[in-house]
Amino acid sequence: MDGVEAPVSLARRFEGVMFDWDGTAVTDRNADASEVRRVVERLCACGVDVAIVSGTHIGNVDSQLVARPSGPGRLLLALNRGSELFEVGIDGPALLARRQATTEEDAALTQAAEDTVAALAARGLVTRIVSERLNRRKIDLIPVPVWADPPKAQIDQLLAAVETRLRHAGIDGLVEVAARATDIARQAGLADPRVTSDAKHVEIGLTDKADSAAAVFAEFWADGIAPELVLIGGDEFGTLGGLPGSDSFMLVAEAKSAGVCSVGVEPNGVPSGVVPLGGGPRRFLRVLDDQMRRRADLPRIVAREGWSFVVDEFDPKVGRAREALLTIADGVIGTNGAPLFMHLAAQPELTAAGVYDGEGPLTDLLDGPRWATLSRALGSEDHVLRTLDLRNGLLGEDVVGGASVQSVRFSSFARPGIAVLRADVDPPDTSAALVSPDGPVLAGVYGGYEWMAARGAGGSITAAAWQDRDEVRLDRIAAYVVGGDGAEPERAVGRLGDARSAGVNALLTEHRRAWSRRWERADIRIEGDDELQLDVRLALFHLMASVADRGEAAGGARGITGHAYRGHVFWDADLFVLPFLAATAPAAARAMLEYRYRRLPAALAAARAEGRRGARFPWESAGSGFDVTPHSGRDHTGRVIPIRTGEAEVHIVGDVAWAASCYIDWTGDHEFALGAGRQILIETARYWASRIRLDSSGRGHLYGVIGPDEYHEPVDDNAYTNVLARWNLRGAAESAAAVDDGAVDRDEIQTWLRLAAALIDGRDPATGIYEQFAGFFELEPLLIRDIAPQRPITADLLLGRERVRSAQIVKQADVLMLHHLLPDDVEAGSLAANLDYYEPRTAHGSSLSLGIHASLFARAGRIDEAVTALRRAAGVDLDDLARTGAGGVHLGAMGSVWQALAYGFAGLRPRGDALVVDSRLPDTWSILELRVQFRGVCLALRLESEAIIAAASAPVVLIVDGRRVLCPTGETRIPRSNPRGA
Amino acid sequence: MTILAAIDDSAAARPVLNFARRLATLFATRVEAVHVQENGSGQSAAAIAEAAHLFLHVRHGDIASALRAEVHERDALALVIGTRSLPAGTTPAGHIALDLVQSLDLPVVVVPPHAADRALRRFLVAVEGDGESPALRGLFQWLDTQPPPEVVVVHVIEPSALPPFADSPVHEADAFAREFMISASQSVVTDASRVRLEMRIGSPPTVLCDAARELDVDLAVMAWHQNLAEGHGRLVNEMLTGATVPIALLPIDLHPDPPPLPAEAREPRRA
Repeated sequence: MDGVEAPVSLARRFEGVMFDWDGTAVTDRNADASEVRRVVERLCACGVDVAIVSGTHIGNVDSQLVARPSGPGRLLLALNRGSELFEVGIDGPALLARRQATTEEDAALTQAAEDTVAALAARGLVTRIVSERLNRRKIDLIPVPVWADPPKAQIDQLLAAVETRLRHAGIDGLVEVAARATDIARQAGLADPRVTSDAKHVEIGLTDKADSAAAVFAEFWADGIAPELVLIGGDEFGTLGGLPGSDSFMLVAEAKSAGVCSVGVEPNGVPSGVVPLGGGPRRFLRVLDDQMRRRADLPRIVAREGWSFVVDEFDPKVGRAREALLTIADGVIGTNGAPLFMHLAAQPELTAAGVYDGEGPLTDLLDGPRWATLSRALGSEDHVLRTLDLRNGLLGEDVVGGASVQSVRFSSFARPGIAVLRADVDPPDTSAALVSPDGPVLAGVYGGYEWMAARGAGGSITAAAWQDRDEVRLDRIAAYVVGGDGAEPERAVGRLGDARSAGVNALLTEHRRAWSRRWERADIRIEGDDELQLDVRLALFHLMASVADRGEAAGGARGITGHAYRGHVFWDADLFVLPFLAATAPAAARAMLEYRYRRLPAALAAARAEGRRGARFPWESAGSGFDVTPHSGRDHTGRVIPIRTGEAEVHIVGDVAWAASCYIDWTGDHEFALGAGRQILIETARYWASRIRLDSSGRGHLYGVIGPDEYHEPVDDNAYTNVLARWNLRGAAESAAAVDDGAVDRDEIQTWLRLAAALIDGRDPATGIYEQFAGFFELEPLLIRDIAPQRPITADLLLGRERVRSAQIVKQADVLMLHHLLPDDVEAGSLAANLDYYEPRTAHGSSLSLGIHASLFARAGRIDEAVTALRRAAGVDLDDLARTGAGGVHLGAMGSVWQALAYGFAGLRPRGDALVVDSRLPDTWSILELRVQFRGVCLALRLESEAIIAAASAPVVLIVDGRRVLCPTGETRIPRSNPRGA
Repeated sequence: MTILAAIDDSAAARPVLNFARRLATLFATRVEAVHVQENGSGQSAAAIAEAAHLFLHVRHGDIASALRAEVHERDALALVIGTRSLPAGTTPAGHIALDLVQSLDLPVVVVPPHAADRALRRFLVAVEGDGESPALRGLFQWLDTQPPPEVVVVHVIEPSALPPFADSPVHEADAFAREFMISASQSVVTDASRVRLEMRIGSPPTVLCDAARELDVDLAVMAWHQNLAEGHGRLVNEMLTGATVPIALLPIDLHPDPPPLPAEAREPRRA
């Protein structure tokens, strides 16, 4: 199909092509399909997913097509009229899925076919069951030699012959045959018989092409291909003898957004939305060839509800905060979403996770060479539209006005460190591929490619880039290597060469697929709250994008979306970000733990420097693993304030241990549990053991600490720190005792257990309320809920540090963090009393507070308050509440959003080899669906008010309403005995 | 281009003239002194000008009208006037000063009678709310190519507009300051390294007056819409009342558009 002939709806680039085989791609089953093979393999090589739909079996199609694509696009064969799905690779077809009829269904099919033949015979019509196919029976309505194997082109003559034959028997055409067959099939026991006809046959089956199409759309979507990017081809969409054409079954709900064409004769016309091209297989080959040519086009970004974050203006006032939200990252490098064109109010940035410059508290993320910049200045007449496709990690940017730009760019999730820009820029762009950051850079040419390197005290960022211009078209690929001591042009150019060999289209396909596959294991679907749905996905997107899934991952407080907090790693990483990754992307969680583990020597040294044993992880960590917390600084009042968190916020030690345990709980990673994880548990326990002081009555204390509530510092016996330390000691004792390798002697284990038992936790037995620290109950009993103009509020700024310090005003969840993190280590049933007591006293002056409270409100059954808190937590960055959004997104707050949904609303908790599911949903949500990985099993948990529907990739045990339920592979419906968890 | 100093016979005349001379040094220009005779003899004004080796232009008639005419006639860079005649107490600015600051389309520096005579080393620029900084932009446009003194931008957050979160107060303030300086560097076409940020919380007039003393500044710079009608210009009014340092009032409408892209930003740096 050339451009002149192409209807508008088809004259565009599609990423997936699904088509019927017989009559559409080939004239008949004996036809030469070598041309089809050629174009199919080429499309796959360019990253297009191709799916062939047919009623016949694998042998027929594969032996005729003989395609052996090597990717990255996939070739799918949806065969046997919807009952089988194959993927064809370089080694041939491999079965992906098969609908397997039960014995009863099989018998019912045979019965239905035989009864139909008998019923027709009773009318004097001789028909024949010609073959037994998978999940269906085929009845030949015209078993005469002349119509033994009619070509598709003679469909109207065939239909006339069949209709004549039927009428001679007093049967009112195919419609009556199909209706009769359907009735008979139901009588035979088939609940949902699929009866179709190709004029010559009537078929009774369990599946049809609608199942094929649904399966193909699902596979495409799993590759990040939205229905809008799918082209469907067939030759029988119109009615045939009053029955729907066989290809019309491909027009499932998703197909409404797809491009659809027919190359068939279509004697009765085509349904609305189908473009009638005619011309048969020759024409369809031209359609495929046209798509091949369109690989040079700009990929389309589809704005989809719940998946697209759109910024439809460039507003200098909020532009920087939007840039952070539009950051595209691959776990290694993060590129903010500043407009391609220069503007005074824009600040393009590229940073790399864990690559720092500077020393001590001034250690900051190093700025790297930038690749997503064009030299032209953005004019006041230019309108900028940026669309972040969350599903596929693509950032589209269109500019209209003084200049014209359509562009797509991404930071490859499949090849972290590879960045790609394809843009149509008019007037044509002349900029260099790399732009240097502020500060010194090294630059040069290696192997014919431009390279540039920024070097900091804690590593370097080297980029090499290639670009190609053809009039308005610009293709640019940049390759980054990070972390080395100096410039690494050779490595960068080597990576660039590999990426160039793959090409923009293949890079796009593998990137899109990598993102989509990640979403398949991490998505959360909320039916009933579209706004929250998008906010949640934006949070998950940044959580996934900010953390690498190999090596070590330094999870800075703002990820790699900006410079705020200087990229320092806080407890946010261990307690707020890691749980999401442990439950959805274990490799990424493991990389975060690897970051801590590799800094264990520094933590051991820090403990020694304090005169203690074990590992003292730093409150703020960067490259070296030594503390980089500033000792003083100016706050919003302009006053210089001392900062004691570095010396006293020691709960970070237990936080790191908790993170290791959380990872083990979700993954069951024995190697880690017996290796690095065990070491972390043991060394952190040693720290606590050396820090606990016993009083004269034998009670254990931790003096001079800061809890999560940083308004009060330092304090003695912070409940959160003490209970965490107690849990840490007991966990380490259990881990140490499990393996007698001499790492810990029996006496030490006993000491840990004795100290754990001695540690006080501040619980008042009369009320069940834990005193946040020694003396908290004696402080001025102010309720910040009642005195603040609104919450969240920075109470220390509102009232002054001294006043807040002397009052019962809490910055963020402190005691309540225990109920969230360690519900089994606090008094059973104590959540309600502590939530009642502490929440009104909590200012939520940390972005980390609201999500945790949302979770706890949900667990306490206070659903409305849970939803309110969740919305606010999800809006921390979108609303730029702290007005520092330009410095990057609050990754910890985003992690708390996931925890609110997973731990709070869904009630997920690993418990040994089982996963507890105890959902509590608001009435306004009809469905909450979470995807997690538990002990290597991929789970999709659809939580409804009356039931939990679990789809598992392998058998898994869930605990629902206190019952252990073994869920086999596939879907299991578990009725709730306590709907809505009331 | 001149600095026009409007002096009267009061005790405020000398500080006005002194400040005008300091300002002229900064702008590398000269001072012209003008006195509008109304009821007084003008002897004091003449003596003060003479002591400063300045020729005094004497005009007659309505003071505000005469000064407006002088400003236009002499193509002044700024008009320097006294806040009020008496140094004692914190009385509101005089009606002539209030008339002129609202009606002239150039920077007007209002000098309190007890202003110290010293070199201009440090300016305070007041910023409220979301950090928008027309005053900073206006100051650097006013200075044009002249090397700026040290500029302390004081960002005042009213208690009703406190940030809801400060996960780490110092990092949060640091992040805010960083973003502010990025914005400031967009406003400041010349040397942004001369600019630093101070943050304060409280009622802006009180905080700014306190900050001016605490930071030992020589001039407070404010941008405004030249409207002191009821419900408008509260901050300017209160600053004129309470400030102990001269205040430069820059009409916002003088520079409604953002500055052009600096030359170095037009082309990104490259290898």
